[in-house]
Amino acid sequence: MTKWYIYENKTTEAFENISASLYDDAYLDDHNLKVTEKESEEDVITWEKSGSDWIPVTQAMIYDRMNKGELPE
Amino acid sequence: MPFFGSNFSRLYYDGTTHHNVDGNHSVTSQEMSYMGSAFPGAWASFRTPKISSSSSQTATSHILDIYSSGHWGAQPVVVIDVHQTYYRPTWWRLMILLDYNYTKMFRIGSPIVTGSNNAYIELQNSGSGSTTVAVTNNSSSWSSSNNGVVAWTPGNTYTEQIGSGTHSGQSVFRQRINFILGGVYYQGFTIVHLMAMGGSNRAHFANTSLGTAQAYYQTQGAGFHLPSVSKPTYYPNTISAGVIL
Repeated sequence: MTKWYIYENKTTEAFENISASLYDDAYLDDHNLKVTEKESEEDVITWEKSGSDWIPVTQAMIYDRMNKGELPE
Repeated sequence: MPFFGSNFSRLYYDGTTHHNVDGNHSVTSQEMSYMGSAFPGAWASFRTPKISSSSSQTATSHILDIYSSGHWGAQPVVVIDVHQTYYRPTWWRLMILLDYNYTKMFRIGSPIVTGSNNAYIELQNSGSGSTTVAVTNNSSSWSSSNNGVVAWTPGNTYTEQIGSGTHSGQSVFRQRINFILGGVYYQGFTIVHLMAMGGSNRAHFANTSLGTAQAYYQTQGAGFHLPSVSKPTYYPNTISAGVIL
């Protein structure tokens, strides 16, 4: 299993980044960030927000989206 | 194979297991490791965390603050390797010199993707205005007029004065640097090489807040703060780029 940490602004909920490592408390405080922790299988490429939750985007989903013309080549 | 010619084998512990950087491990495990010193005695190199953008939003990470003053030896030099690993793997490098209140940059390499399609660096004025400029590998601001050296001097637009005469009579300035993934589904990281030099060879890490680092450099003048890089535990107190604070 791979761990993921999704960072958003505490106040505005603006997306910051997704990292495989957890930033120190000093970084979170200085940048006013909240973190959502996730775990996934290894074929996950990134995450996307669905409502208030984050769902994994797998390599297979990306292949499918590309074949449907939804992503640039 | 040691990294960048270093003679050292290093261990990095991440809780329940460990990884030898010089060993044969999976890519994922190596990406969780810190590479440490690349050119002992001349440079100390640190890998910032790998970040991803989401499927709909670009990503940003504050990777470095550089502090400089007017005293001799207090003009830090850093080389940043920009790595994009997905979905167009590529690499480019730039050198940044903070000369008192003046930022000077030099570019190396020409990656296969350009502009915001390639991961890039952002200069940010850390003052109240938070003015930024995107330093992409193919920005038209890069000039090759200086004997073929590709240079860009944004000057003092993006530096912030954090002390007036506070470093033994000299003023102190800060240049904030962010790492940007300018597209969705992107992944990337940087390797930051700090040059060991006269009055600047000291670094703060992620365990130090921005305010604590600022207070230190207001009176000490010059150095580096890597706010997203964990403080190394495998070095003695003195490293090749100076003192870990």
